[in-house]
Amino acid sequence: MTAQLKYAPTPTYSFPLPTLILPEKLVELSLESMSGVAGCLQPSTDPIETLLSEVDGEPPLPIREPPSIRYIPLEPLEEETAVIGVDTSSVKVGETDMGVICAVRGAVVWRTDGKYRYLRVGPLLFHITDEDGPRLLRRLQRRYLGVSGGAGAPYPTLLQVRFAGMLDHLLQMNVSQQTSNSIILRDGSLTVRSGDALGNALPQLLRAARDRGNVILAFTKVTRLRLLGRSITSLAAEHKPPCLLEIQGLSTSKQIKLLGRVYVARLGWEPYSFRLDVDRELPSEACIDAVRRLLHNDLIFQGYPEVLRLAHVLSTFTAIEVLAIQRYVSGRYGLKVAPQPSIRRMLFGPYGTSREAS
Amino acid sequence: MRLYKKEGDTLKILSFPGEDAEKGDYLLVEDEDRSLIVQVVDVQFANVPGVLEELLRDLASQELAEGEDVDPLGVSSHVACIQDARLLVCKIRGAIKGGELTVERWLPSRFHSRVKRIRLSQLMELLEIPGDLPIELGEGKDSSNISIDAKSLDGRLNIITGKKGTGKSHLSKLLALGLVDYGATVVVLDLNGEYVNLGYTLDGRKNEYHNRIVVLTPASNFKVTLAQTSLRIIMNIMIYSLGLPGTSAREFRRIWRHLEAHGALTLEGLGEAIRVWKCNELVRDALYSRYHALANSGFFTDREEESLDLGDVFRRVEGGGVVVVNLRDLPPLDRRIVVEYVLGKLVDLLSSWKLKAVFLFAEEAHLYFRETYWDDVVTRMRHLGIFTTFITNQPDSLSENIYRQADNIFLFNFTNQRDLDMVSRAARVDAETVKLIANELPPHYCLILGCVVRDFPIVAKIRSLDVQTMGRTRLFFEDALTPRGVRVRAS
Repeated sequence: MTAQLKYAPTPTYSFPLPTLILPEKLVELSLESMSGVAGCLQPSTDPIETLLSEVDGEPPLPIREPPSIRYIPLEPLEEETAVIGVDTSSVKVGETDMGVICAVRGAVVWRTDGKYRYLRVGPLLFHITDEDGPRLLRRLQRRYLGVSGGAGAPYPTLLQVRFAGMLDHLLQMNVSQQTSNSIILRDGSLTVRSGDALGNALPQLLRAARDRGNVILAFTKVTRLRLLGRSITSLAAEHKPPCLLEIQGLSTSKQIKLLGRVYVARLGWEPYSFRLDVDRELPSEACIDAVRRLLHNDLIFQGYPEVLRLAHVLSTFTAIEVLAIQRYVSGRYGLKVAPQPSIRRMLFGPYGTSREAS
Repeated sequence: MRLYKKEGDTLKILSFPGEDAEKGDYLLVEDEDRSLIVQVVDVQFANVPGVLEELLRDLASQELAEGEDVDPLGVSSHVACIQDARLLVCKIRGAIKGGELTVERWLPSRFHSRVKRIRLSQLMELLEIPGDLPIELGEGKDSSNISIDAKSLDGRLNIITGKKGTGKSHLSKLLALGLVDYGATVVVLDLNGEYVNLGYTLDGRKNEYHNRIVVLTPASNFKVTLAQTSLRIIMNIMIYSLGLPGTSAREFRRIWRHLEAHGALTLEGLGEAIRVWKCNELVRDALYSRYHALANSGFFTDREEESLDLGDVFRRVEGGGVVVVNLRDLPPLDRRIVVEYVLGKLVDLLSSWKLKAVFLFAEEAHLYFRETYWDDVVTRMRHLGIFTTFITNQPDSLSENIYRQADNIFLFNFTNQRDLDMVSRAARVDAETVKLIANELPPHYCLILGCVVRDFPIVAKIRSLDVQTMGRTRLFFEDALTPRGVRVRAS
C-alpha cells in the first residue's frame, strides 16, 4: 500500500479564486512514484531548472510569402478586470540508481484592486524511472486530460517537463473554471503538435475559459517564428508602443495546429516584444480588447505583464530550495546523498570540454 | 554537524538549527581513533550559495504580493533550515589520542569525521579539573559544575576584569573565601568597603567566616607608630607616596636615623627634629609639608596602645583568613600611604618568614599603586610570596606587562572594543577568543582563561554567595518615592 503524507485541505480564497482544487491525483502519483525510491541520491550539482520552451517549446512554423502584418496601436481599456498569471517550473533534484528525482511547482498570481496575491502549489516530487515515468504520466493524462497521448521519448528531462506541464494545465483549467470575465496569462504559445496529450487538451482549456468569459493570453518570451530570417519579435521595434502586430499567413500542417491568433506584442517603451497568442475562436476585437484591458489592469514592466513575471519568480526553484528538497528526500526516504565523481571528468580531466575540466 | 574548513588553528563546522552550539561550547571532532577538542568562538550564518538571491526574492515578492503556499510535502520547513544553516567558528584547544590529552594537531577528514558536543563536566574530567583543592565557581551553560583548583591560584598572577555590574567583586569574594577554606591568608585592598561585611550572611547573621575576617580601617582601628615603621617603608612612603625629592630624602634619612638612635622616633619628635635640623630652608619646607601629610593622615600615632601590629593581625588569621584593608573614604594621598605601608610590611613579614605567603586582592589598583609596583608584582613580590589578583573595570589601567604575565584571567562582559583589545594582549589566549566570546557574555557569566582551566577557556555562570557584599551602588531612587505634586489616588 502506498504510504501517504497528510496534506493540507484545499485553501479557500476570495475572488477571483473562490476555491482552487489541489490536483489530488497529482499528489498521489507523486507519493506513489517516490515510494519505491531507495539507495543513494547523487545530487544534481547544477540544478538549473529545465525550461519547457527549451525541451518542448514551440515548433518552427514557416510564414507564407508575402507576409501579412497588421499594426494595431493600443490604448488601455478602462474596464476593471481580474488579471491572473499561471506559471510552473521543474527542476532535477538528483539521480538515483533507478532514475531521476524531479520537483515541480506552480504559481497562480492575480491582481485585483491594485494588489497582488498568489497561491503556490508544490513542490511535488516525482521519481522518474525508465519504466514507471511514462506510465505515471499516461495515468495522469487519462485522469485529468481525458485524452491519451504518448509520453514521448522516455527521456527523464522530457518527462520532468511533461509533469510540470500537467500541473500548469491543471492550474490553468482550474482558474478558467473558477473565474469569469478575467484575463488569464500563461507562459508559452497556443500551438499544438499531434500526439501531444497536453496539446490535445488545449482546446478544452480554451473552451472552458471562453464559456465563462475569460480570455487566455499566451506569452512566449523567445519565439522561433522568423520572417526573412529575422525573429518576428524584432518587427515591433519600429512601431510606437503599446501596440500589437498581427501575423497572418502562418502555415499549419497535420502535425502542427495553431489554436490562437499570433501577434507580436510590444506593450512597453522598452525594446522588448513578445509573441502573443490569443484564442482563435474569439473575434479579433475581443482579442485586442483583452490586451487593452491587460494594459489597464496590470503593470507592464519591460513590456511584460507583472502577474506573469511574479508567477514565474514564485514558481522557479532556487539553489537553496533544491538543497532543501535534497535534504527532505534524504530524510524522508532514507536516501544517502553521495555525490558521484563525473566519469567524463575522471577520464578526460583538463583535456575535456570546459564542463568536464571545471 | 559537519566539518567544513580548517585554517590554522581555526575549524569551521556546519550545523543546522536544532543542533545549535553556542559561543563557548566545546565540540569533539572524532576522526578514527583520535579526536580534536575545539571550542566555538563564533556562530555565523553559513554562506550558502544563492541565499542572497533567495532572501531578495522573498523580500521582493513579499512586498509585491501576499499569498499562501500549498506545500503538501512540507518542504518549505527544510528551506528555512538551509537558510538558517550555521557556521560554527571553532578554535582547536587540544586533542585526545588513545584516551590521553595531547597537543598534537592534524587535519581531520571532512567525510569520515563526526562532530559532537562535549559536556563541560566531561571536559573538566578529562582535564582533571579541579584537583585536590576545589573551589566551586558556579556552573557552565550546560549546567555542569565548574570548580577550579585552589592550587592553580597559588603563586600566580590573576586578573578579574569586566565592565561595571557584571560580577567582578562577587567572584573575587568567592575566590578569597575559597582560598580561606584551605587555610590561605588573603589580604584585600578594599577601595570601596565592599569586603568589610564578608563575615555576615545576607540576612545579617554571622557566617562561618566571621572569626576569620579582620577589617582594618586606617585612622580608626588601624594606626601605627613610627617605631613600627622601618626606614625602608617610611622612605618608600616619602618618596613614592608623597613625592619627596632626592636631596630632601637624604636629609630625611639622616633625621630618621638620628631619632632612631636616640629612641625618639615619634611623630612629635619627627616634627621637632625637622624644625631644628640644620639644612637648606627649601629642604626643610619640603620635609615639613610631607610631615604634615603623615600627621594629618591619622594613620600614624604616638600612642602605642592604639597602634596595631600587622604581624599580630596575620597571626590571628594563621589558619586561613582575610585581612581587609578598608580604603573607603580615604583621600588619595592617604590611600597611597596606607598601601605603601601594608605592602612594605608584607614584604618584611614574608622576607623574615613570619608569613608563608599571601594572596593579595587589589581592587582598582591604579588608584593607589605606584608605578614601580607593577613590575614588582610580577617579579620580586611574587617570589617573596605575594600572589596578586587585580580586579578592575578599566583594563587599560593595568600595564600590558601585567596582561602578558597573567596566569589566569577571569573575564566578564566588555562591549567596548578598546577594552577587549587590551585584554586580548594576554599571552594565554588568542585575541579572537577574547573578543568574540567576551562581548556577548551575560551578566555574572565569566570567561575563565589560563592555568586554572589548563588553557581551555571556559564560560561559567558564577554562583551566588551567602555573604553581605555591599558592592551595590547606593541609589537615590532606591525607595519608592511619590513625586512631588503627584497625588496618589486610592483606587
